[in-house]
Amino acid sequence: MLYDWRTARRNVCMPMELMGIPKKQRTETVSEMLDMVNLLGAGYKYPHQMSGGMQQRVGIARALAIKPEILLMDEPFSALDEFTKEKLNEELLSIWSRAKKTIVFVTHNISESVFLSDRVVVLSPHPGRISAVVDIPLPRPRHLAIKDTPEFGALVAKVRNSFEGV
Amino acid sequence: MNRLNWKKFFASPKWVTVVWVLGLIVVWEIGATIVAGVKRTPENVLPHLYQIIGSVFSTQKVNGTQTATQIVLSNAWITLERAGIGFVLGAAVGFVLALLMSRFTAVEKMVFPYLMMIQMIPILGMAPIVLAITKDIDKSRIVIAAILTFYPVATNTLSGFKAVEREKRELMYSLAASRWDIYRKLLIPYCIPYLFTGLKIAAPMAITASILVDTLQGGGGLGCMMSQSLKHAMTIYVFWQIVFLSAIIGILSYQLMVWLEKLLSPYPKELRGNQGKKELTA
Repeated sequence: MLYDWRTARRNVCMPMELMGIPKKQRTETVSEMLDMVNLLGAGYKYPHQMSGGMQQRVGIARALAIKPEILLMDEPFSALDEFTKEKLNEELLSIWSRAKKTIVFVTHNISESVFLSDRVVVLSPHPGRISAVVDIPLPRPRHLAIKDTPEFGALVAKVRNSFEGV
Repeated sequence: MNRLNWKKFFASPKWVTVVWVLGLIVVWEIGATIVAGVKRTPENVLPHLYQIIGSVFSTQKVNGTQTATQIVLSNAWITLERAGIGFVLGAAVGFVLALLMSRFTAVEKMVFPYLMMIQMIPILGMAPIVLAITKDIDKSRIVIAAILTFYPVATNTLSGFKAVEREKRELMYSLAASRWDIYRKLLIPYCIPYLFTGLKIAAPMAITASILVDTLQGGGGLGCMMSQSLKHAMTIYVFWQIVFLSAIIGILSYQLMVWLEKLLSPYPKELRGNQGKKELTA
């Protein structure tokens, strides 16, 4: 959730301000992060001037700005319609390939999990236990077309079937 | 102008304003005409608008040295300056109080009932007491304007502090922000639009209060001139000019706050909060 009174640049900058990183370095990192999410041109826009997808990407840039070792994304796209979600999934993959960070991505959508991941961890409810770990050997870089391949379908089925015992 | 433009004009809010102002003038003039027919001194009850406007441009000296307009303007400054000082003081006190109340629940519990009580005492009753305590009409103007200002400012700012979304706070916590940082980077910027809601309510009120305090004592100010004019110490048109001037000043003070808010927070308040998930579908 972005701060409405700050531009995209100043939103990405905010965590670094708290950590006391010098100004010159902050400015550099902000440009670098916004470039990574393809928003370098929108740096001086306020959140209400951006689309939801752009806001989401600024949020990712802000999280990456403090160079975390891993990034936890808790159902970030769950409220979106299918088309927007697929578009953001593709963009997340390209951001991920540039950022080279481990991302732990929580989702309820099986096809989303297979599309994004190297490894899908299936959790069982009450109590939350790991009920299966499915490796996803699909080649990268991945594009939406991969969803139409039999390999993709087989992996989705595999993940779905691992719920059977739950 | 083609037909479409006319349609646009009639649908615009400007059209509403034009009709409203014209309607007001018509009603006023009908009233003035009736009053002119039944009263011996109609200008004491409801003069024609052109008589008031005429008095603004009249060069006739009404108290030996000044025209009616000069009297009104020189006294307006006395009233406005004190109202302004009181307004700024009251806003500052209100803001600090809201800060303290948001920081310490105990302060909120202790202070809030008394804030409301102060607000319930009619200003007409409080003004003579304040005058008796300060023994100075200038100080009384400032104190009364401040008292009227700080309550709407304090309550609105406090509600701003309380309206901050949980997610926005959690981001601060997850970054291990200090309390000072949370105020500086989250709470205070967040509550600026709320602060201005309070300031917009308070600005015209501070001016009205200052005028009211004027009437308590001689020695200048719009209210003082108003009551002298009503007692026929000078032409009655001074009174009518002040009525209109006060209304204009009140509106301008509100507009000044609107303008200041735009300067300080360049994002619309109504967009915040609900711009998350729902808008993503667009």
